[in-house]
Amino acid sequence: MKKKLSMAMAVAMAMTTFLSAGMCVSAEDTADIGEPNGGVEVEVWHYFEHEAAALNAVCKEYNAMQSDIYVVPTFVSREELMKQYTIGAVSGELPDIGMVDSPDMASYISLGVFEDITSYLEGWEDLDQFYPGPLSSCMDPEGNLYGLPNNSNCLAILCNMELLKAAGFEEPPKTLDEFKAVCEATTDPDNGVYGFAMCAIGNEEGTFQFIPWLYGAGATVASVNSEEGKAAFETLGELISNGWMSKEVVNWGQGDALNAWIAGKAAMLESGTWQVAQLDGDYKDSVTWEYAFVPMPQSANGAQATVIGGENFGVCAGAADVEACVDFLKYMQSAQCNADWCEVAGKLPVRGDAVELKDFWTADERYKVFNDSMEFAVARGPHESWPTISEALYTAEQAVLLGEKDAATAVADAAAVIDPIVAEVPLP
Amino acid sequence: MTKGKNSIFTSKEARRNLLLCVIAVLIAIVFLFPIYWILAMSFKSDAESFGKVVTYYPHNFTVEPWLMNLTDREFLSSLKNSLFIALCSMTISMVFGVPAAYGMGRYKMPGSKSFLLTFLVTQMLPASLMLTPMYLIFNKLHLLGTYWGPAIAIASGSVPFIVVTLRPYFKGVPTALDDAARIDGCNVFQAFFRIMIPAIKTGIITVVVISFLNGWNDLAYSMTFNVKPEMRPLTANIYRFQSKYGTKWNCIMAYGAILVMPVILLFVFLQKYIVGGLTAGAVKE
Amino acid sequence: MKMTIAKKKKLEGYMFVLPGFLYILIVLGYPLIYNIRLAFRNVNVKTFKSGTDVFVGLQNFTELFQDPTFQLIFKNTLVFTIGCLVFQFTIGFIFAMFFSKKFTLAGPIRGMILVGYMMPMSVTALLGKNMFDVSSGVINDLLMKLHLIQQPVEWLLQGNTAMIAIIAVNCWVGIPFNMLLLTSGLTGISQDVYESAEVDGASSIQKFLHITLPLMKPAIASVLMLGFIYTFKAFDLQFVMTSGGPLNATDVLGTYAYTLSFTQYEFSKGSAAAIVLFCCLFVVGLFYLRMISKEDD
Repeated sequence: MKKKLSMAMAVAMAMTTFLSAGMCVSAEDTADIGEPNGGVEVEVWHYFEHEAAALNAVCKEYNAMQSDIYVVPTFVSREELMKQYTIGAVSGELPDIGMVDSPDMASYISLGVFEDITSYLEGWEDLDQFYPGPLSSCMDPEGNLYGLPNNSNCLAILCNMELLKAAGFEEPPKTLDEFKAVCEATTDPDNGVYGFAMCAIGNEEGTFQFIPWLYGAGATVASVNSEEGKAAFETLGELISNGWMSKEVVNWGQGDALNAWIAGKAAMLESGTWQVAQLDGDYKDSVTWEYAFVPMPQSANGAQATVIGGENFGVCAGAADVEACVDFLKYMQSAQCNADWCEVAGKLPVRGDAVELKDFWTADERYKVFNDSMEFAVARGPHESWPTISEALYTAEQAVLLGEKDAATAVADAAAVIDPIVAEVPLP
Repeated sequence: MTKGKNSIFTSKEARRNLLLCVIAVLIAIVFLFPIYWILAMSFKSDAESFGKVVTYYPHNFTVEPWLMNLTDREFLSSLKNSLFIALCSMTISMVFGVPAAYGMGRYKMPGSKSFLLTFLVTQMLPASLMLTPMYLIFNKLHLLGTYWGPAIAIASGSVPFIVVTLRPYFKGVPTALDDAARIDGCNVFQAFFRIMIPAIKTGIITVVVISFLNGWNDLAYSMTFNVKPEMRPLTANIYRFQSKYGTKWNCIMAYGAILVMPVILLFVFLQKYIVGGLTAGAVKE
Repeated sequence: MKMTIAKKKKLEGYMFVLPGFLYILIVLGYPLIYNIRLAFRNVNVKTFKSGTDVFVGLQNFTELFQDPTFQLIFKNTLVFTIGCLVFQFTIGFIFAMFFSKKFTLAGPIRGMILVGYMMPMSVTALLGKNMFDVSSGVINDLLMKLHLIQQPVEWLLQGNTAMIAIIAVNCWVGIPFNMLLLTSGLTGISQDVYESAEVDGASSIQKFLHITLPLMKPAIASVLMLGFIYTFKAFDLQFVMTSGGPLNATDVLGTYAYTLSFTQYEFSKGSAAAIVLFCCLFVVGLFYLRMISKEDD
C-alpha cells in the first residue's frame, strides 16, 4: 500500500515537473495584433466579446502605422475587470488603458482608478465633435476628462410582427396606450406567449432597462418620488398583474430576455442596439418571423425616453506613458475609426462627424430606430454614487414587479436612498 | 461482489442484497438526475436549450456545445493551467497540512488549542474580501502573474481543512503502533511516513481528492492574481457563456461536464489503486 | 530523564505543527488585520482617493445592525446555514452508514453520488437556476407531469421558495461531502468492536448509539464545524443562482459583504459585514474547541 501511495505521489510530482516545463513555452498572445513594432507597450483591458476581433484589427492597424507605441489588447470579463479596478485602486496595479461601462466610470474616477488627461487633450479640435452625453460620462464633476467614450447604444422595442399581425396590429405601437393594447392582444397563456419581455434583474442591467420607463413617464432619477415616477412603476406593475409580462423578468439579464423573445415566449422585447448584430449572427436561423424595431413608447403626457449605454476607455492611474495612451485613444476615437468600428461592431458612434461618414445608421431601418432614439436618450449619472442609486432603483422596481410593494411605497423607499445622495452631490 | 461470492449467499442474503440495491438505485436516480440533465443539456442545440418546451433528451442532437469548449484556442493551455494550479495547491496543502494534523492529533503540547483555533479562525472571513489584501501581499512578494499566487491562496483554505479533518484520524491510531515503530528503530519522521500515513490512508485519500478539487474548481483566486489570458484556468470559460449576450445553457453544461471528467477519472483511479478502503464496508449489521 | 523525553516530545510536536501554522499565519493573518482595520474606519468612494478616512469606532457596525436589509440578510444566513446543515449532515450520515453495508451496488453508486460534489459551485448554481426556472425548468415540468402540482411553483420568484431551492441545491453538494467525510470516519472503526457487541446481544440501534456515535464523535464534530464555516460564508451559490434575490430573500453575509465592497465601494461597511460573519463563526469555533477538549480529557 505504501509503495502505491508513494508511486502515486511520484506520478503527481512527475506531472508537475512536466507541466512546469510546458509552462515556459506557452503561447505569448494568440490575438492577431501585428508583430511588435519596437514601441512602448500599452496594455489595454476590455470586455468586448463579439467585438474583440474588430478591436484587435484597430490595434493591428495602429501598431502598423507607427513604431513608437505597441498596443496590446487583453480580454477580461466585465465582472472580473470591475474587480480588478477596485483592487487596483488599492494596490495601484492597473493596465495602461481600461474599458469601463459608462455609468461606472464616475465611481472609478472618484476612486482614483483613472488619470486626468485633460491637459493632453487641450487643443484637440476633434473634441468638439463628441456628443456631450457620452463625453460627460468621462468627466469628473469639475469637467476634467479621464478618457474618451468609445460607442453608444440605447434601447427600443423589438416586435415579433407575426404575433402582432395575428393579433390584428399591422404596425408596431407608438404610444404607451397602443403598447398596452398590443400587450393585451398578443398575450396568449395557452401557448406560453407573453405580450412583453424585458430585463429587470437586480443589477445595473436592470436599472438600464428601467430608466426609459422612468423618464418616459416624465420623471427623473432625482424626482422619482412624484406622480410621474409612481406612474412609471405602476405601468410596469400592471404588465405583470395583467399577465402581459412574466414575473421571471426579475431573474432575466438582457440576454435571457432576448432568448425568451427568440424562443417565441414574448411578442415584444425591450431591446438594445447590440442585439441587432446578434439577430444577424447567432440567432439568424432561430428568427423565422418578420420583426421590426420601434422607439420606446410615448406617454400620454408627451414624455418619451430611452437610455444611453456604451463603453468608455480611460487612461489608468500610473500608466507608464500617458501621452502614448492618449495618442492611441485619439486614433481609436477619430471620426473614421469610430465610424468603421461601430459599423463592424453594430454600435452607434459617439461623435457627430462619424455619423456623416457612413449611411449605415440611416440606411438600415433597424439601426435608424436607435439612431433616431438618441435624441431623447438619457444618460445615467455621471455620479460617483451611481451604484447605490442604481440599487435603489432596481430594488424598487423588483418590489413592484413581485407585488411586494405598491408603487407609492416603492418610490418613497427609493427616494429615501436617492435624495440624501443627490442632495450632497447633485446629478447633472 | 464477484460471482464466486454470490454462490455462498443464502437466499435471505440475496433478498437483502436486492432490497439494498433497489434503495441505492432510487437514491442514485434522485442524485444523478441533475448529472443526467447536464449531459442532456450539453447536447441540445441553442434554440432547444432555452426553448418553450422542456425536452428530456436532446431532440436536435448536436456536439456543437462540446466543440465550443474543446476547440477553443486556449483550451489546451487552460487545461494545463488548471492541472498545474490544482497539483501545486494540492502538494502545498498536503506538505503543510498533514504534518500539522499529525502534530496536533498525537502530541500534547501547550498552546495546542490556540493553534487549532488559529487554523479555524483564518477560514472565517468570506473569500471575496481576502482578495484585495492577498493581492497586496502577493504583489510585494512578486507572486502575481505566476502560478504560485493562486496555488498558495487556494492551499490556505485546504490546509486548515486537512488539519481539522485528519486530526481525529491520527488521534484514533493506536499508540501501540508507533511504539512498535520506535522499537524497530524508526526515527520520528520514518514513523510518520511509514506507519502513520498508511494507517490513515482513507483519510489521506479523502483530503488529497478534496484539496485537488479546491484547486481544480477555483476561479476567483486564479483570475484575480493572473489576468493574462494564457494564465487562465479552465473555469474562466464560464464567462464566455454567460454575459449580456445571454446564458448559453448548452455550452455551460458541456463546460461543467468537461471540468468534472478529469476529476472523476482521478477519483476512480485513486479509489481503485490506492484506497480500496473507501469501498470496503466497515459497519456491520 | 523523564523531563527531557517530555520536552523532546513537545519539540517534535511543534516541529510538525509549526510549518503549517506559520504558513497560515503569513498568508491569512494580514488579510484578517486588513479587514479589521477597515471595519473601524470610514473608507468609501468619497474618502478613498483623498485619504480622508478616519477612525469611526463601532459606527459601521451600529449602522449595519440598524439597517433592516442587514437584519434580513443576517436572518437569511442563519436559516440557510441551519437548513443546509440539518439536511446534509443527517442525510449524509445515513448515506454513509447505508453505503458502508455490503451489497452489490454500494461502491459504484456511492462513487456516482460524489459527482455532485466535484462540480464547480458556479456550474451547480447555474444548473440550479436552470432546473428551478418557473416556466421552462425541469423541476416544475416534472412535478406537473407527476400531477403533484397544478400550477408551476414560482421557485426563484418568492422569498421562501427561493430559499428552499437554494438549500436544496446546496444539499445536493453537501450531502456527498458529508457522506465522504463520515464514510472515511466509519471505516476507521474496527470491526472487532461491533463483533464483540454482537456477542453481547446488542441491537442495531444500541450498536449505533453506544458504539458508532461515540467513536464517530470527533469526526462528527469536525464535519459539523467545517460544514458550518463553509455554509455560513457561502457566496458562489447565491451570487450565481439568485444574485441574492428576489429582493434580498436569499442574500447572505458573504454576498452582501461582496456587494458592499465591490459594487457600492463601501469598503469599510463591507469589511464590517465580513467581521460580523467572522465573529459568528468564532463563537462556533469556540464551541467546537470545548467539545473536542472534553473528548481529549
